[in-house]
Amino acid sequence: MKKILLAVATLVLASCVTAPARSPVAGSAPGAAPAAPKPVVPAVREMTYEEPLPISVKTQYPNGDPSGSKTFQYNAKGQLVRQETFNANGLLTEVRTGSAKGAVWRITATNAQNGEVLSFEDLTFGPKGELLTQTFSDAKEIPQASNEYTYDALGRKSQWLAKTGGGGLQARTVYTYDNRGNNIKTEGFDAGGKLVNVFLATFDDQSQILTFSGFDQSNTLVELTTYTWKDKLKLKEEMTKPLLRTTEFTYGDKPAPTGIVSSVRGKVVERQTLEYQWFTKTKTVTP
Amino acid sequence: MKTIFSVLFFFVLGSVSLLSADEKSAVWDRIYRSAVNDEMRYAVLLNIRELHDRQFGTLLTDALTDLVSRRIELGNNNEVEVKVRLATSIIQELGDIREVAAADQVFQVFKEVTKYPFLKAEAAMALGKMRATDYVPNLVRALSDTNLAPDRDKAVSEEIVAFGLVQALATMKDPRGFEPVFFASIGWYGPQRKVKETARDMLRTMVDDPTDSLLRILHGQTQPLDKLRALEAEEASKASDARKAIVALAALDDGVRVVVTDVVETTQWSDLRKKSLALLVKTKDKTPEAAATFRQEYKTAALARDSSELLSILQVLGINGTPESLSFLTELMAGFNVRAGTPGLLTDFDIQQVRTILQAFHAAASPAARPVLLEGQYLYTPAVQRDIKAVLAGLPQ
Repeated sequence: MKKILLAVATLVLASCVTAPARSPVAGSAPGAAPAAPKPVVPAVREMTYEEPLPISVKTQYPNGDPSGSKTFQYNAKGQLVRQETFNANGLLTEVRTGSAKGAVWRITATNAQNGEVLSFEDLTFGPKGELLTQTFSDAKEIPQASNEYTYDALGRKSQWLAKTGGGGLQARTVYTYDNRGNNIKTEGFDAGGKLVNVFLATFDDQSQILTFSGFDQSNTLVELTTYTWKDKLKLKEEMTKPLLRTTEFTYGDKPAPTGIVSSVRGKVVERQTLEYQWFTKTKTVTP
Repeated sequence: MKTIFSVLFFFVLGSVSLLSADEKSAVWDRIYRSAVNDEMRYAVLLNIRELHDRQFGTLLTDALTDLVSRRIELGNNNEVEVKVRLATSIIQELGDIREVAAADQVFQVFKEVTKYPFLKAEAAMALGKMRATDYVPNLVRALSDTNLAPDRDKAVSEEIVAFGLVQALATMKDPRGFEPVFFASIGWYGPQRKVKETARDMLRTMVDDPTDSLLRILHGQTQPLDKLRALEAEEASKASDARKAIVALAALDDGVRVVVTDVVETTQWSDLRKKSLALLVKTKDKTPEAAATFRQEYKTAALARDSSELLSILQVLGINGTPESLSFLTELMAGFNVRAGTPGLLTDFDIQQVRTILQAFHAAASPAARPVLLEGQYLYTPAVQRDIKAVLAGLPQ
């Protein structure tokens, strides 16, 4: 699933048409006496975009035998309402259902065979639909772990805190962007604030990621992934460090991968076919 | 306003995908390895499972190795409970990412755990998901043992493990797993754990052609009900019609040879023969050697006065259509012709047989039937005579 998310998530905004909601400086009649300066209101742009969410993910063994599948349903906000997981034999093994519990969107995982509740995942969102917190609890509703996210003024994730169920900090991750909005650097700190991981990414002039490299605390390169693009579609991800892993993507008529082939050391290990539901969303952005 | 395709915030499974999950992998890997107790490890694992990333294969394998070395079932109740929860979750994820490199450790859990059937079943299922076929003989032995009879004190546990084993062997799609899954489908298991029901479903798809396995089962079983289940499994399988007919003929042969006096068993054997005939009709079998079995069966069914079986045999003879089968049909028709010459000798059921024989001749469409039909064309009631003429008209010259 991670590769799906990555593939789609890296389809960076290609273009947008701006429609100033308010002019930065109000118009004034020629020759009129200068008016008192008005506060400068930053221009805003309204943009609609289509967001794909998978409704069906089918996986296959390298020889084409089915190895499992998942189906998803969402509400109008794109929040998960129901997820069903089937094993290779077509047996329903797990059901996850989402529903509002106060201000929280709670996902309950249930063993489909015996109806037992397995765990809970509580999500809270910001005004623009951005994920703010994610808390995992066991079947007795005792929190086991949580993640907290913060965002900058442009709505970009700026920090991720990984915490224990009791609220203790486990790790802090900080994200840095270039002036085009590309996440060029990610720094990981341990609970004591010591820098332990640095990830660097490079992008082309279309904001398409080209390389992603990870360094440990001794500044040794431990991970390197390169990306291949064509016509704004990501075709391939090739990790060469720590070992050769390749992920190749194929597309239908929309820019979300409908086929994914994963290989390890040149040997195909899994194939996936995907279908999506597209949500039209509107976002207000500040240039 | 122009609509564009994009993804800014991408929610899946209710959680957000970040611009890159790679840093998440590294962070969780590091936190897991530095965790000081199993509670902390379990908390990290919940996050790891959200990512479904093969990159965690090595970490999870190491984690399971560590758990196994610390003996999962050793410790006080709380310690063991957390270890079992952790091991279950690790094993599920190893199965989901099909990390076959971890098969040894997963099998070790399957082998060593005795008190936690759900963990044992998860271990079996993970081996199945990985298609760790090296362990097929071990899983086959385990399921075969469980199929035999329940241990009175552990029946529920055994059913839970059996369910996992059935799933595992079915997922591996290895022919060696077919027989124990079949016996699970007719085993002692109760309805609650769905072992039998699941096994029956799995039999349809786990191998493309189970004919050889089912023939072995058919010949090895003595009870007509077990043979009937084998025949039904063959019918439901993806085997070709020709292969299905082989099993149907074998079952029919067994059903014809048997001598029983018990009323219940007589009915069960008759059900087996009828099912065999129905499958032979469905597969349009034309095996010449089958005629001898049909002859024998006709005698058996006549003695038992089983009219539906008799009519089915006549139908199958027509579909078989080989010279041997036609010869038997001709003999039967000739016999009815003789009796038809004496008023009052033919019963209503005899007439029913004659009409079924006529349908069989029509299906076989062989000119070899012509003489006996010509002989009988004026011996019967007008309705039967019309049928004879219609069949004669349809025969090739």
